[in-house]
Amino acid sequence: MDDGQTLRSMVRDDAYRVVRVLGDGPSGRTELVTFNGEGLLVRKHIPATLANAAAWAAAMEIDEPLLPRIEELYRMPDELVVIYDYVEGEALSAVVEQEGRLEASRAADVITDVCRAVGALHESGVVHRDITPGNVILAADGAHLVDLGIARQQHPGQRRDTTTLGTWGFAAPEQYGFKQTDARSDVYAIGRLLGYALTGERPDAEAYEEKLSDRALVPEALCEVVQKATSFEPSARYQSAEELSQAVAKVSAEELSQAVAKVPVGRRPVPASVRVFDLEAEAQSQEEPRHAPRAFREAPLYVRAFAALAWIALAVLFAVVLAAAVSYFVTRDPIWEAEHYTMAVVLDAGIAYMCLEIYNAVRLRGTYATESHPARLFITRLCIYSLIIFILMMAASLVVAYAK
Amino acid sequence: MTQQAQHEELTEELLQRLLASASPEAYLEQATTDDRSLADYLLDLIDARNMTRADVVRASAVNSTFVYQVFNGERHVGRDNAIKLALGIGCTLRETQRLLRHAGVSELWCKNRRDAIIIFCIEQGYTLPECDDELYRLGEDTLVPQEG
Repeated sequence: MDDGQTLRSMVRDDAYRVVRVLGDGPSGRTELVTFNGEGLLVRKHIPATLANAAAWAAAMEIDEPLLPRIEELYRMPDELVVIYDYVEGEALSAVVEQEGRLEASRAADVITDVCRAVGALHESGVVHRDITPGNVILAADGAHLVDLGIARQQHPGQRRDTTTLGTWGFAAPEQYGFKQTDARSDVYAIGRLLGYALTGERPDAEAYEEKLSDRALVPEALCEVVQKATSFEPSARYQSAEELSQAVAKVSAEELSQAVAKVPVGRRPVPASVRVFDLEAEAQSQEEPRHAPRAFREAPLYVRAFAALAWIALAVLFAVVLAAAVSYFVTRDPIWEAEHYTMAVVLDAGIAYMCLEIYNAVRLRGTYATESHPARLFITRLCIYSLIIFILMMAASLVVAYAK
Repeated sequence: MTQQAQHEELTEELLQRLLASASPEAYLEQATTDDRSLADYLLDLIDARNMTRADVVRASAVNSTFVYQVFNGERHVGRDNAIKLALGIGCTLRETQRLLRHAGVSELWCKNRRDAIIIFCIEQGYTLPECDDELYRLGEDTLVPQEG
């Protein structure tokens, strides 16, 4: 940026007087300003590394009342400065924090407005990428979308976004760098927005899933819309803001006002996150009445016998070694020779290992029910191997002993 | 405008009070310290005169990027540049000394030949080019480096 440009930008910048600072963060500073003392405008400073002048310039051309009307756009040495009209109203986040969740019909209206604004943006080839409750202002004439801070233009053929940003909980998965974001990423965010408005909880909060499935709070049809819009896979979502808007419109007025839905008898609604982990339990409980024995005492006889044998052998050997060691230290007269002590210790270790293996196999596999073939096979194999090792070691020690 | 600009206590008065105090705490409890950064002080100065940064650029013969960065607190100012800014803004001698202090450089000292000339020019309300003329006439280095 040359000196002359800087000077000109400074002249333009100095024409505005700051009334109040609206926000200051890593993505830039936002101020409420007046121009020559009249009219309220918003001035946003965006760091040059994050700013996308092309996206803003494209947004300047759009004629949509629900989008920020951009008055000026100029560069400073380290930032891009945007001036747009101030919209009087409260942010959705502030409203929800104060009043709690929105009525389903009001939430639907807000989303319809947001879809309209976002649709206009997409038509100009700009993706917003930061549709969050803080960026939606509920004004007298509808819900406005403000702040195109990290918007970008679509580049066909680009593999990833060059900057990965977004608000946790609202940004689509692909915004974290998996592939290029497009209109469907905004659709995801709008879906999350709808969920937030309906439940009063941020999507990354624990209570979000619970409340979304609560039919007393959220009508079934709207919940389905949210689920579809926030599918992980972009191709599973609504393919445009327009489609999402239509889906919301299809939810009849009757369903929207009927906030208290009847819960079907005999089936307690289960939160989605819990559902996944209970699949195993469900599968097992759906088996025949004979339930899988889990306690060791219910294991097949051969397993129990072998385990008992191994424990006894270990105990005996341990006792023998201990007795010999004690007598040696007391009488200084070794009963055995040195190699025998070594073999005994090695045997002890081997048997201990086998016992551990058996114990683990028993504990981890749990069931000995005959339908669980792999488990049975595993234990059988383990027992056989352990037995072979045991015999070999015994043989080796005896051979050593009698070779003397 | 920061709180401090509204009512600036004179350094000499505060010094008298400090020397008369029984302990540092006794003075510090009473007195207000000046914690403004250079950028804050400069903004106060131009706000008081209804000047803009662009005016400062034109009057101080420094480049606009430099001024932009100084006013953002992103840049340190050298002594000569600080004096140029003071002349460009049209500071009084007292304000110039304060500006130099905020910039972390030494104040103008009348025992130094060049400083003495600059002090005289500031008191007389000379502009930067006029001050430079005096410096050149009396054989001292000018503030704006000569070409060639």
